[in-house]
Amino acid sequence: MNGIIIGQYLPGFSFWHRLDPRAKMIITCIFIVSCFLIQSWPFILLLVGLELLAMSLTRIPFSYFARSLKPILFFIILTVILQISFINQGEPMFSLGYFQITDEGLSRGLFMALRLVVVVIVSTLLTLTTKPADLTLALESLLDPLRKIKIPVSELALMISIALRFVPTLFAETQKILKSQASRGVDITEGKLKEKVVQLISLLVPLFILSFKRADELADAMEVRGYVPGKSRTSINLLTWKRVDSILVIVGLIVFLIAIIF
Amino acid sequence: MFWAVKEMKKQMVSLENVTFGYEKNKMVLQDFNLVINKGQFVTILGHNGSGKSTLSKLLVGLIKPSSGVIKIDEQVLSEETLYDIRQNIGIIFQNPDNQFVGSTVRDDIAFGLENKCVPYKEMCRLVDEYSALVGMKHQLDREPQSLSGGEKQRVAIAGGLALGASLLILDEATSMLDPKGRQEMITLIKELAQDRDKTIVMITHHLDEAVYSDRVIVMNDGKIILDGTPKAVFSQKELLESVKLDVPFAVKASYELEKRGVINELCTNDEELMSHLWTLNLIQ
Amino acid sequence: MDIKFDSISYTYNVGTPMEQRVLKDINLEITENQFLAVVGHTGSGKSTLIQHMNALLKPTNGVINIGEKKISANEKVKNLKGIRQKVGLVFQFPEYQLFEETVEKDIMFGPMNYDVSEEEARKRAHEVIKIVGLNEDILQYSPFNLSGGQMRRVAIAGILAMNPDVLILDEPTAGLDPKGQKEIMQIFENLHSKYQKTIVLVSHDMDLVSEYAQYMIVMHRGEIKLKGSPKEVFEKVDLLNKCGISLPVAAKNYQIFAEKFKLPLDSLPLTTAEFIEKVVEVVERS
Repeated sequence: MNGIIIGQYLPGFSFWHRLDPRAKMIITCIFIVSCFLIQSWPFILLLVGLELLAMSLTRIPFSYFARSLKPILFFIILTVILQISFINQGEPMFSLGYFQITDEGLSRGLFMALRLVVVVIVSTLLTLTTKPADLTLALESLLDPLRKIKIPVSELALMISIALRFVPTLFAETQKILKSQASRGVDITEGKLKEKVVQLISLLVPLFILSFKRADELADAMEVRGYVPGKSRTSINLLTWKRVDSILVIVGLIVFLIAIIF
Repeated sequence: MFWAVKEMKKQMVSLENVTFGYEKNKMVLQDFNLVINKGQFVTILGHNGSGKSTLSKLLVGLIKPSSGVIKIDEQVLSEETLYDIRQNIGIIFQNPDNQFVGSTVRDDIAFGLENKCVPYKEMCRLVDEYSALVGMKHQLDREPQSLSGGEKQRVAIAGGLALGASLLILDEATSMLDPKGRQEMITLIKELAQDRDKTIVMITHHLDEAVYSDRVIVMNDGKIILDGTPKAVFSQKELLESVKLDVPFAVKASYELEKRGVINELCTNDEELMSHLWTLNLIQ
Repeated sequence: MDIKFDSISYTYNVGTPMEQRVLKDINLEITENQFLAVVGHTGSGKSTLIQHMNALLKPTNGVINIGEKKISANEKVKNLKGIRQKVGLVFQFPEYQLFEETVEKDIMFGPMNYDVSEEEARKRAHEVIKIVGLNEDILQYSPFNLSGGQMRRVAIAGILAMNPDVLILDEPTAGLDPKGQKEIMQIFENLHSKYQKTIVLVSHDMDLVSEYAQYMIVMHRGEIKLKGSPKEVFEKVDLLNKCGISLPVAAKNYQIFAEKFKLPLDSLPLTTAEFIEKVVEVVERS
């Protein structure tokens, strides 16, 4: 779990941290869509500029954002290579037998790569500055209209928040079970396929049983505290939409319009 | 002038001829009868398997008796009254993790209130009030993985109290805690017990927790074998040992010391033992 | 088989912002057939310490000698698996590690991971099930149809079946009722005296520790603050208080009694019987 930046939350009080999570979610989506609609360099660079501005508003070091690109570095390079290989229009810049790099190809390659970077960075912007619990709240609020077509939005949101709350617990339990079985001679570095299957079972069966027991007890606790699925509830967590959030969304919409028009 | 005011003791919990079994031919409780009055602090002792945990599940309607009547605050527990009755009960189970629903302390205390559709401002007030009462005042944003077992259990108590529960059931709530956590819980429960409007039922096998209650009930094989004050119950040393329970240190020590003529009374808790020993005239 | 800790330190997450030194300069020798208790408040490093004893964790500094095997921070160690057969570790709530279809199969799992033949493993299962106080019939049941107490014994049997020389027990009585506690401790006492095993007991229960342990160490913030027999250790009342450790109930009460009458605080009683004798003695003297 260490070293992977995507999905991790970094606590803070920056301007960006304090924005309404719904606004952040909306512009993240707008950005990603616009990113793929935009075809020309000036506008993708505009996106990059806006992103750099947002990144500075988070007061999180740029190195963290750079680290978020590590996992997809392979894909970025692959994209560039693919584009270069298959686009042959334009002036050749370099050739080696059949293989040649044209200026058009290079341009396209880098453009595609930049798109990927923009998408990853904007997603990271969202997850680094927004608590998972707040993301769930935002999702619940934004998808609320779906209730009209009988989709159990708040039940799903509660399921997600409970699942998130137990992630660290599950992680600790997994560690403990692995250690217990290691103490009984399980060595993950050795063993044929048949043994590996038993090793896996010795981890999964206890985990499942613990989880089912947990689900049982949790359901009892929730029931006794008056939870009735489907019944309306109030919420202790209020998301307050501020003017700043509206401004942000408007900026996003402008970007989107630019993307469509040009 | 003689004006007698007879205080009608309200029955908070009543079980009348209750029979229950998880399997067809194995009854855990048979024709079980018990009455707990309002404001009492009762401890129910019993070894694992004596039927005490079944009792708590019956009281909150998680399981239904095959016969008999259960009344909470003089209201019969049934399918129709279940929802309302539960709002008056705060139950804290054994595993601190498996009952902590919220993503933060605030969320968990508020869970029951949200279910009850309490308005936002009122919820905030209640969360503030009851988190302070259990000693978690400025910790509302803390997440469960950073909390100790004792802290989680105290949050559970806050949640029950915030709902306005007048009956608090603690089902082996200290069993999975370390000594520090247990101590915090016992201190809190003793404080809450002082409020005569609250009825507290503590189910445990830790004897040192039982010594502070008004009444101790000992269960074995689904039956009540002892029911009385801590003093009365703990003086039955042999009977307790025969049902796989032990007696507190103060009882053992005062029993022997009484035999040796050092003190003249059986003591049920450490404080009582000390106060008796302190009255001895020991010239140094 | 002895276990020797030489200036052991352990740090979590070395090099990250979450770096945390959990063990500091630990020096400890566990001799063969000793009954050692490890006590300390939650977070004092007990768990980390015992995980070094069966090589689940490797120290970041210092050297551990487990029998013939040497584990040091800088060298790569091979065959850690072998150590785990000689040093059996039973975690807290071990019933959660059960997973096989029958009790017998689950107990056989450990030894068979060490290339013990199926036949031999089965034989061992039949032996250890009796040592933990259960009936042989239970071997054919599913472990999940047993009571919590029974499941715990099955888990312990699973470790015993590997025939370790050292048995480490992390809070073995957690969640058990008084009788259950007595019965389980009896198993360990038996393993210690009759089967000559070395027992390391981690516990929060000072009465348990004073009753069963020959030797104990008190941990506080990753260091060993006190070492000695229970009688010696429980005399250091002030230091124990600083480490967040309480006294056995008899000692605690005698301390209050002695302070009131300004009596000397040497050799505190550890059991109820000792308490009574001491009080009677004081009364008769005056």
